Amino acid sequence: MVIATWAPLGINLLLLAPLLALARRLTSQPRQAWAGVWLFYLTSWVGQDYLAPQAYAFLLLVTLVACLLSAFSGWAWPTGSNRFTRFLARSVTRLDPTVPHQGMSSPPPADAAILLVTSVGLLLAMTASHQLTPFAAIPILAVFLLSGRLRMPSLPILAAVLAFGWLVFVARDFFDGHLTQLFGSFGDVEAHTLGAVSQRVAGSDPHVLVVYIRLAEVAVVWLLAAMGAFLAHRRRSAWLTAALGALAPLLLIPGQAYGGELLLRLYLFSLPFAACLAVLTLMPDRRGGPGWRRALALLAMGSVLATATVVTRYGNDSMEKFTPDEVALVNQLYATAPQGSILIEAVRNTPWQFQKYADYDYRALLAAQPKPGAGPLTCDQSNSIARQFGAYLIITTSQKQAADLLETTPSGDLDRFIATCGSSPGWSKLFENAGGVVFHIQGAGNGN
Amino acid sequence: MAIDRNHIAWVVAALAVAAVPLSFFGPDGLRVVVIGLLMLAGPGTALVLYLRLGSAGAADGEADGAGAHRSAAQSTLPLAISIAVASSLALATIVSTAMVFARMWAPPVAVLVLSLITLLLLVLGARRVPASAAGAS
Repeated sequence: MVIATWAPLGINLLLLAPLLALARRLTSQPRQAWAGVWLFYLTSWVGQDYLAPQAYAFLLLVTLVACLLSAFSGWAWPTGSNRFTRFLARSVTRLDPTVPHQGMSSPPPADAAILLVTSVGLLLAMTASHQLTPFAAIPILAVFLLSGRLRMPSLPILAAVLAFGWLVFVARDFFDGHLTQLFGSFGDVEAHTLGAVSQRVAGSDPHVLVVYIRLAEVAVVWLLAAMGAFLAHRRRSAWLTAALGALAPLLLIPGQAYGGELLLRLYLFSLPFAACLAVLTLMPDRRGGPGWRRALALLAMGSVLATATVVTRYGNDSMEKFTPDEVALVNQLYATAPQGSILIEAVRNTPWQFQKYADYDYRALLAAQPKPGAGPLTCDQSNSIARQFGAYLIITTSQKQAADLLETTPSGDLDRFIATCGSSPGWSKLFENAGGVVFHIQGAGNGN
Repeated sequence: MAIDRNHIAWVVAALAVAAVPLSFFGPDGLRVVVIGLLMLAGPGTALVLYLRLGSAGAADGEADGAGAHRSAAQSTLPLAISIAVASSLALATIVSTAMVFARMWAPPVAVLVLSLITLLLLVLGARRVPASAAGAS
């Protein structure tokens, strides 16, 4: 638990070197690179830096891209061999004649082979660790291949083979049982974009405010990135690699909604690239300081974004933060409930399943998402789950916060639920502390 | 730079050697620190030392003069650190995933594998430096 507490700090520190290595390949000079990394941290509100596979896979992805752009930049084929390759090369040169040369020169063949094996290892570890990140690597590597930024045509193909191969062969049981979930909405761009956003712009007024500020911050970053790309194009300085890297993850949009979280994740994948473009609006290409006017403008932009990020990143903390009392309550529940018991949470927002993941049958009465016009929670839902074998029901403070913030139930409904259902026949209160309460609901079967 | 590289190599070698007995027994805090550091950066640092990433020799040929060499070396340092950490973590992931699917879960064996790979890369790197220096002269 101590490691989990400090994980966001540790993961962000670990991300610093890969972000900087990548930014050095995307920008013309070190000050721009540092400013890009600074902007990344200021606008990275998605909150995927906790102790989780996605944080680890993101670290591998950024390192992989930085490594490939550093060691394997260039065209994968002779650019004059046919009309298509000539067209690609001319288009790229017309758009952005620069290929930044900071960092490594082409490594010797033996070192290149080792770096290639290392890159394949990063892809493999990414595939084994997280279900979405490897799919984000495919379009990023593909657009770099088509724009002369990656001279290894086998890598995008390998990335695709590994990602789909893992899904079909290694995760076969999941794949067989969730085909509709995986591919049911394939191609439904509107549902994956507007549908997902409108679903999130709901709930209580404070929550909606947080969502709006998040949308505004994303819009500001993308607007600055577009302006940076335009200005860099006019100044004939490096921009195309960053622009392609920022846009490539968006090719995943037709795939599936990823539980409504796809846009959040795509924003994160594109942010290291978009941040490097955004700083080009205020950072000159020449070496040396930006001058006091630009420095003041940078400071103002950073201050606004930092202030906004306090809201976008921590605005939902009341439901996302679990207290020690809640964790103690869950531990008491684990110590009491026999293996195989049904454990119910009123709202899907409980600090559990960090152990004994497969030992219990976990259920939830309500998902932690906005539910316009939601009715009150009834005792019948819990009773029907517990009807045969009995069940344990846990209601915590953060569940109540989530229900109120997202308007999953009418305001204060979980307190009413506890007061009324808690005294029903067959319900007995097992534990209670400042973090919540646990009930046992008697079943008709073995009384467990 | 050569002194720095040697210091780093010796520290990584000490970590790799110490991690093997500590994977079986020892004070919990020490085990977490030593094995954690090995998994976080051991094999990758040995790889980076072998490839000489982050040193002036690996940097861009545009560099001219001592100051420029230093600057070019600094420009590859973030990449070297990134590869050291990411490849170490990736190797630990691949080894542990292979053990899970082979139904041979034995963390001390995984630590042993990581230590051996680290030491092997360090030895190869140490042998490579004099060879390349001789070639250069």
